[in-house]
Amino acid sequence: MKKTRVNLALIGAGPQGLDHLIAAVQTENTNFTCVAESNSIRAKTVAKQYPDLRVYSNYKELIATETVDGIVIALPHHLYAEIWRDLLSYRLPILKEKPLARNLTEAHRFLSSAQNAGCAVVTAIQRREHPSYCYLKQQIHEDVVRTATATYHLGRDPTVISAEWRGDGVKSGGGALLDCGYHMIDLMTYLVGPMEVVACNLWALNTPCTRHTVETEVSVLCRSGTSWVNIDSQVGGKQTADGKYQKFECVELETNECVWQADRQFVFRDGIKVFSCERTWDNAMTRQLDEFADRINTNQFDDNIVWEQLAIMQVIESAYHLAESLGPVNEGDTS
Amino acid sequence: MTRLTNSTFEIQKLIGQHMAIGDQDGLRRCLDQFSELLSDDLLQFCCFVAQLNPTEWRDEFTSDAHSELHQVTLGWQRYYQAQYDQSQDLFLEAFGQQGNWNSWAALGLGKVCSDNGDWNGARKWILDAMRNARRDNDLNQLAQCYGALGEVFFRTGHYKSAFTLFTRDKALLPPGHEQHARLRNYLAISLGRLGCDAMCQPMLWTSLYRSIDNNPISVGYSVASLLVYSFIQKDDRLFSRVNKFLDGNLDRVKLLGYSLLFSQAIRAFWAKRVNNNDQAVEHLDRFLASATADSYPVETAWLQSIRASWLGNTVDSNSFTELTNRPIPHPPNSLQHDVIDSGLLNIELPQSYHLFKHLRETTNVEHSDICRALNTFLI
Repeated sequence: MKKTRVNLALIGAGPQGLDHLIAAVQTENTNFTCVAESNSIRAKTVAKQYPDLRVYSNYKELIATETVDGIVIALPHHLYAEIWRDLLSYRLPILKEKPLARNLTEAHRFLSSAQNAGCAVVTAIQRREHPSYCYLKQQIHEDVVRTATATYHLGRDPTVISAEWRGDGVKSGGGALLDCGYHMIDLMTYLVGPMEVVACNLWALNTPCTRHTVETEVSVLCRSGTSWVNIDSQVGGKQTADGKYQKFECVELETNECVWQADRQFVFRDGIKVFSCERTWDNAMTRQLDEFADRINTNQFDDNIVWEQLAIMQVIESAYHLAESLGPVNEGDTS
Repeated sequence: MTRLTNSTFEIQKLIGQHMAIGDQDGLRRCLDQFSELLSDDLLQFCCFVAQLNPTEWRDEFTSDAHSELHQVTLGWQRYYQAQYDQSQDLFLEAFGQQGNWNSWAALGLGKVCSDNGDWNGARKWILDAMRNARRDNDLNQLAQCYGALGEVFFRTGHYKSAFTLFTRDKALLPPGHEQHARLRNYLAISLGRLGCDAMCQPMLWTSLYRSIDNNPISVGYSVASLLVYSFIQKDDRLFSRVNKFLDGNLDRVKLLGYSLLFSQAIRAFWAKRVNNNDQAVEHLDRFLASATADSYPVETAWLQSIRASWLGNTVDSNSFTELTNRPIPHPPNSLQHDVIDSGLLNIELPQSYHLFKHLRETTNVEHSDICRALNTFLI
């Protein structure tokens, strides 16, 4: 089938939205024609950087004016719920940034309302498209993973609580688990298979916490068939001598054959480098946009990649629930 | 090891289920029905795990003294009697056979190292046991490994890691398992160390009240932990409240083993702290009268030396020194760990057991709570 270039609208020109614009430049298959951004400074910046884009301050105005094949949305977590019903009324395919929603109930609501409206939804989860992780997936194809561990430390100072939406539990829906943990849970689901949560510890710095506090650190033990998986996500990370926090990302898989280690740059098999690529997201995001364009062209939106995101939300919900039920914060005081 | 027939394999599975959920009554019924079909070794092992007396089912045992299971079983018995030399030798011999009970031997060696302050050795052995437990899909043993490793991290001051490991131990056990109360104690004291005082004390009381009707041993642990906590916090009101509870519920609380040691020692040291020397010695005497040197040789020797020093006597500490200065062999290089546990290996632990030995020489008991408490006191 001949590929048709699809025209896209971007809602939200924050850092993640801008990455989509950069990625689109590298592919013939997609073309962003317009952007909606309510922040005037950001709107001006994006208009200056991309003079061909038509920039709107309001998404409703954009949709009413423009004719596009699909929408990419990259907004703070709490804003999706506010605009969801409106967005669906345009009956356009949607590629939305992760997480699918702030919690499982909201995720169900998003997907079922989208289904009722006949609207396709795909979640942007770039690691599945990153060359190093794609290579790793191919290599372990038929091998059985015994144990695996995924580590993702953002390298930000965890003692600084964001004054914006990320620091507000209701708006963000969660901290390290829903934010960086989402990536690792998705990646492990992609590499190892669907998972069940066995245990979860949430921390607000050095104090155990529940989802009612925005967690800075999470440690989740999961089971996938006969495999055991550990997820370690932190807003901070290892501290260096000068007090800064190290950004770090790595997955390790032990199969019946060997031990794999991978990050966004290299893949090692039993300690020997077997693959390397650019660390950046450009390539992965371009592939993601290409795939979205393919789906629009072929109207294929009913495969697992869409529904697996609900499973990721289920894992996260279970983890929050377990942290609450196992943790001490819930214990009754007898005094 | 005796090869099991299909029927005994089924019985073994049934026994395993009872053991996994800590169902002592169920296990007893099972042994009543099937004990004749079990080998001496297996019967002894079941009894050891469930703390039952094997002679209830068999008068004479003809186990091969060199069989793996026999050595593992005996190794655990010696471990709980604090006879670490013998325990270690038995575990090492069993481990060398690389049979079906290999991971129990590795876990035992980890516990021996842990109790002797060889933290790195303990971690290596326990991670090896965990690897095998995962391979065998033995969730009960995996839970025990998490708990044992939690103790290592707790004792070395890595309370956050310890809390996570204890959480995993608890999560792997079925709801209602008898070990939950003990684990809640561990979780609580980890919280106390993390400075989460508002969570620690309620959790200890919760643990106590939840187990009071069905698990007096756990109540003993909770009481002991609360006493230690009150000692560390120098909380007079809490100390009085726990003692009042203890005095009013002695018939319901089984102060056995460590919990007896904790309680009497803490009461003794509290009395010493408030300069009530007579009562301090009295509490120590109560412990020394109840515990036997066979069961707690190191602790007994240490408390005897403490008692003597409080009475102004000199003591021959040779037996104590002898007991605590024994070299521990290094774990073999062949031990392996799962990739999932790599992070636990990266945490730096003290390289030797000097610190622990030092603690033992001054405070010398098995549990770091007491060591910490006594350290606080001694400083």
